[in-house]
Amino acid sequence: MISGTALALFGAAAAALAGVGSAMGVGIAGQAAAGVVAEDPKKYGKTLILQALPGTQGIYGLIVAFLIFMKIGMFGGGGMVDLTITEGLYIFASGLPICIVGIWSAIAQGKAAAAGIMLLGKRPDQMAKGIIYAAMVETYAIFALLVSLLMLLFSGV
Amino acid sequence: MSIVKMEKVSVIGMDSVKNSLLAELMDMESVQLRSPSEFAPGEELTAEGEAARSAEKVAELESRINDAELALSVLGKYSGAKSPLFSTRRILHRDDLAQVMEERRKIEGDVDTVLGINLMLHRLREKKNKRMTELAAVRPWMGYDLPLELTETKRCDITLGVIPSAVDMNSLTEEVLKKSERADLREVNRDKDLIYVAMFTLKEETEEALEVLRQSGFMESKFAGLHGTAAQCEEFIEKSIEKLDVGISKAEKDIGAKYGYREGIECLHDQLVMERDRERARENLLNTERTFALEGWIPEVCIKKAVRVLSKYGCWFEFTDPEEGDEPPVVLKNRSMVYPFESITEMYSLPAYGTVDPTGVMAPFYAVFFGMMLSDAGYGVVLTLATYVILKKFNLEGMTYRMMKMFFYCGISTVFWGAMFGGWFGDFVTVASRTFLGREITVDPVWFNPLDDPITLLVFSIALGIVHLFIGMGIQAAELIKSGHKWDAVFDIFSWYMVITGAVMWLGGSQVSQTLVKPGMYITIAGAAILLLTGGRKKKGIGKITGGLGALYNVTSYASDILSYSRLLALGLATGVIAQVVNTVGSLGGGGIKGAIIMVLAFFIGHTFNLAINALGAFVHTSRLQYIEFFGKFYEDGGEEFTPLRRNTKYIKLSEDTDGGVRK
Repeated sequence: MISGTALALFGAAAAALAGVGSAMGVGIAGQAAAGVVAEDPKKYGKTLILQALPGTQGIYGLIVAFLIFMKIGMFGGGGMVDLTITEGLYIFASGLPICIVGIWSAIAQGKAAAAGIMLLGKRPDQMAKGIIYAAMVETYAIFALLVSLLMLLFSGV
Repeated sequence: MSIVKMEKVSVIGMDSVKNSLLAELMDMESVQLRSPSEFAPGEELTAEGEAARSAEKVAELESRINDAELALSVLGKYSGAKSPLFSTRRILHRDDLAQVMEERRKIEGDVDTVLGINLMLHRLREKKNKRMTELAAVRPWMGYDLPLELTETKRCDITLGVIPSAVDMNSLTEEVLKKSERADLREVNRDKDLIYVAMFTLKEETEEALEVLRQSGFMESKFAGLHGTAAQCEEFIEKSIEKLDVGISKAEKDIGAKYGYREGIECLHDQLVMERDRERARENLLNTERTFALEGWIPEVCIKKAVRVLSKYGCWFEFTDPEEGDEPPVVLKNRSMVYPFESITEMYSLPAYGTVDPTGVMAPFYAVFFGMMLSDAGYGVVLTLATYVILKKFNLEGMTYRMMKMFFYCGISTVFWGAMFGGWFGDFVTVASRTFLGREITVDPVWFNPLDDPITLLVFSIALGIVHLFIGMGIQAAELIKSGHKWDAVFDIFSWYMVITGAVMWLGGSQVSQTLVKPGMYITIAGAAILLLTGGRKKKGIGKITGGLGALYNVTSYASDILSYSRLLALGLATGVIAQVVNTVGSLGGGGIKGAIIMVLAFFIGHTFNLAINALGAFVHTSRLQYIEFFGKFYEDGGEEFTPLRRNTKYIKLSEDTDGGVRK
């Protein structure tokens, strides 16, 4: 039986999927980082900063998932709230923006971060610019997070 | 709050004072020499010979600097001394340095000693490696009890070697016997890849038997320099490795024991660096037989001091303003509160000479945005304390110092905004009191909790963004007016003020008062009309019309700039929610001792992670708001950094007269 609560949980699951993109993005950046560190192990710390950047989409997904849990009373101890199908769909929909945008933006950001790591390898003094290039991509994940949050907080459920 | 004004200095002096003058200029740390290519070449110059001699000397000093550096790194490696978190320079009085340098010969000897032992260490390691290879080669032959070096008897040949393990030994033996009846092929050992075989043949049949083996991929093994059976060889090699190991650890200890040389070598290194830089500076001079000429940039504030020095050496000199086409180097000067934020400006790129230094205006916004994004008072306290302790404990300089100081201010701002929004390690107090005390203690936010009312914070973020953008546009307008283009300021910037302000009143005014809506609409339309009519004023023909449309189309870029500030809300919420997740996980163990342990673990691991990732995020996105949205409105980059002739030392900082330079 599909209940509203189950649909809401699907929403949380979808939001958590943003982690797929982050895993891939961090992986792409990590490959580039290993190449640079092979040349100069002292750059380990700096590559780590760039590698961490595509990791945020997974965190945004976690945030939305967690807020959905709060909304449906998973932690309250009083058991989960019964939702109508419509309410459940509202919440399900709110998980989608961060899910979809999160996955693709994290992969794209991973590529930008990898390029930034290459930049760090050749011109360490220009690292800040590499960080900003990667951060440009993240903007859209932040917007998606915002849309997810507003949908969730104002869904009237 | 500005870019330091530069003057051009030209000097002509007698050759006899050249060296002492350069030394004194280096101590002043405020003159950047220009390369001689920028001079108009004169006729009677004798620069070539001098320059060549200088280049030679520079190369020699360079190689000695490398030696000293290598010696220091070797000493650091084998002494077991931990390198500190931040490398700082020792403060040394210049008389003390002179005293140390009296023993220069001895210190140079120390460098040679260290490097000598290091070389020996390398040789021992090489030998050990060779022995290890031999050992690996001998080990498979343990089952073979003839001496390994024995390759023939009076009538027979003995051949040792390997064939790939895929080969079938039985059929191979048959093949060999077909060619040479009295051959004896024996398998001694086998492993995953290889079969180790010994073959005994009559001398006249050896070649044919070997031919058969080679077709199966046979490779002969030779044991030059070894004597006895495999077992004897192994014992011999192992003993010799042991001996080498003793030698290696003794050499390492020897180097470690020389750790006391370090201070002397550091002084020598820095002394050599200063000598090299002075020598390099000579390459920038023009020489005749008796005189030299020098040209460079000097900050206006340092002129008085320079006059004193130059007169002392009886030089002719003049100071002139930068001319058209000159690109003076750039150095920023800001009040001590703002100074740390120069690192953010520099990270982007220095402003071009004669334009605006944005640091002063940027600094307060930077701290505010950072605080709103990290937005947790607990994290703010941690950040503030950590940077404070680091600043107290280490004598930091340069970029590291400025970054630390900047994060110190950002930490204070974080405490403020965290308290406003009621985040103290998320909702830790509430969760902990509920779990362990059975009743809830809540820490009320001073302003409001963004999770309860995200729209208010969204509006506030965007309002802050509009203020930030308006200030950036205002700087541009001020520059335009200053340079006499006041109509450009009206058409291109004030018109946008009208459009944006009007749109805010038109669309959002009804929340405050209905009377704002109508005027807002008119202001917007008026601003848009100005843009439409004047956007193409510098174009010709049809461009007059399309230019206006193009200017109006910029509304998308302004809209995206303004909406970009919504990240203040999103990142602020992110910190808070993750902190809540951490606390919720911590409370899952329930009350009691076990619960307390889980809570403490979750607290330290979770909040450390959250602080790290969100501080990074706050830093990155605050910088982005400055670089893209704010700088994009007015900033002209491309300034060249001011690099005066200075004591570019790495390990020691000379005290006594540090007030000459502009920089700290």
